[in-house]
Amino acid sequence: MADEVAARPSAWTNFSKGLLAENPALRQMLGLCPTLAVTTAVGNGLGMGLATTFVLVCSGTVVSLLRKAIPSSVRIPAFITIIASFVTLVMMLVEAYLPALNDALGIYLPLIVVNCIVLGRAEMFASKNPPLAAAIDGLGMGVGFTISLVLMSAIRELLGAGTLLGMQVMPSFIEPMIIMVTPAGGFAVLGVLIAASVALEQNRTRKMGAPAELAPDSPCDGCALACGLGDPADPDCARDGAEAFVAQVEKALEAEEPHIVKVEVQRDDAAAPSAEEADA
Amino acid sequence: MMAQYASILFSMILVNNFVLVRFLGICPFLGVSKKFDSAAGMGAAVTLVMVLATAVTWPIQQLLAAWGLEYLQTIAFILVIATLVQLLEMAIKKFIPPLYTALGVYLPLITTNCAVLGITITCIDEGYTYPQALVAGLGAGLGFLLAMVLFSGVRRRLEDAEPPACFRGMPITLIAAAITALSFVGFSGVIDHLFGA
Amino acid sequence: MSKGLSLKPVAVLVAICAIAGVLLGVVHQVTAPIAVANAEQRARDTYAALVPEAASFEEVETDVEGCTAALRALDGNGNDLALIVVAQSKGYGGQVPIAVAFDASGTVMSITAMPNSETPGLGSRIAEDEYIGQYVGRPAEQLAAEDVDLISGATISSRAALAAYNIAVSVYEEVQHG
Repeated sequence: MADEVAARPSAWTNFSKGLLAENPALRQMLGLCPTLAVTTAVGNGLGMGLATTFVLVCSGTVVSLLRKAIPSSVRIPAFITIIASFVTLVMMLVEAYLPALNDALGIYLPLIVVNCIVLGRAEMFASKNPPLAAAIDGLGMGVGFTISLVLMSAIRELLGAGTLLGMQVMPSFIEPMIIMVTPAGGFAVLGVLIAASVALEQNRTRKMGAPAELAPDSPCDGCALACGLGDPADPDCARDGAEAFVAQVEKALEAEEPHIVKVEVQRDDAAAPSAEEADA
Repeated sequence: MMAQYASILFSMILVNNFVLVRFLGICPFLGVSKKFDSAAGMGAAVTLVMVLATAVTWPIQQLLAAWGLEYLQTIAFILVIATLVQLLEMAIKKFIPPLYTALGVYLPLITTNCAVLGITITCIDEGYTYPQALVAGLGAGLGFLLAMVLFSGVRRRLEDAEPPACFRGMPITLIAAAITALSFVGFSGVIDHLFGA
Repeated sequence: MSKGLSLKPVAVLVAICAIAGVLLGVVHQVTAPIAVANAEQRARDTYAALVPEAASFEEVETDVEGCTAALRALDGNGNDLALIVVAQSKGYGGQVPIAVAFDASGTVMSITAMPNSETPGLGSRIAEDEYIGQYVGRPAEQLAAEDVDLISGATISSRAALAAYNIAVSVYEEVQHG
């Protein structure tokens, strides 16, 4: 990620990374709430995807334009305000011009403001790159997100209701699997889709000669600023208190036997700071 | 009257469980539910924030409505929640250090938790009175806690499983979540019958 | 993330909030009337579909809980054609609004399910004739769940529509009998 910023990638690379390799929903596992909630029909998935893309592009551009003006200590509230403004804007436009979509998306439209993808891209990319690059990045992530939403809703609508975009597609003798449009079906379809994209990625890297990597359990779990770094110890990690969190989480999650922490004791005679090490 | 509060409470915990039925708070649900301790800690922290957030945002909505500024609801609510979490973290750190050790680290992660913003908006949409909103906030948080703790048990089992390579990690967790969600479908309709709502 | 005592970060934040508030206010001025006009048009279209011969509609006051609108449909000469009641009840994903037209003898002339957020393909099927058509032709009286065929797998949405229908019936009774 840092390398990309330094190397000023072409616009196409910038845009296309959001489509598969860094697809926000399927690879980075971000924005899962709307992915599960609104994908019961293709129309809803498409609408949500486009609304999110709009917010991504606009907020990314504005955050990037203001990146030098916003002091670091208030950057998260500032980003949130900017994002929330564009979400409110989208809500007003949808309510005025697309009332049917407004009814269908319901509470998930204002929830775009807490969609991890939007805040994550603002923090990780838009605040460190010029406006045009930020806009293209937002567009790529948004389109990738929309694709995953449409894919999921196509599967769920087709299998769960026999329709696509409201039009009957399945022959009537095939009874729809209602479970697909319930929450359980949502989880299951997403799990299978992610497994499929992981398999695709593994195939790709295997063909290129690299050993297949299993999806690691990320220590960044739960951090909304998921930036894809995968390592809170990385100096680029933007989460406050990351180090303390890592230490605590590691202690709590991974220790099977008593875990003795490495301690360095500074003595008054600076000659030999002694260190007590134990099993890591 | 009590039946009404009980109905709201139990419907938030079971029928409209925020995680398994309404899909709010998925990110921390999938991320922090691996061990019982972290699951319980996160669930408790979220419950606390939800009740406080509902307590603070409900009066603010009345103000916004009085001034005809309802369209500022999203911005106002999310900023209030972010500030609230910030202040809460500082207060707990200063006044109740043992509590901070237990759940303080989860607090910054809750700011962008869609479940918190979700419950504040839901209370307004459902037209709850102030006491009803507080009960709803408590119920939503407890439901979240319940889902987290249940799921941590499920994930403990998953660790011994050996799914195909591409399913390891998130995908198999999601399949397990699907089955857990399925179990909650059994609750729909129960509350209405129990409390005659 | 401590805000410290310096003024600049807070000032920047306040400035951003202020600008955002003003901009949104402007957009709201533009879009709100459109949203309201759209909603009114959709309502008028619904009423016209329920009672095609109606030339005008006259609002009726009622404070029955769950009823969002009640109107008399009048023909060109001002005669009563039907009483239209819009009522709603809590379903699975929110409110389930129903619009019913009762004719002069208290029989259901026509009925339609209005836009809702029920699960597509499941609860949304209450709008299909197979379900909602059951109510047409019935006299205006309260119905129990046993009197209608609910949609299997979507009982919550079906019951909500039924509850909304019952609310409409009570509005009709209140209006008719003063």
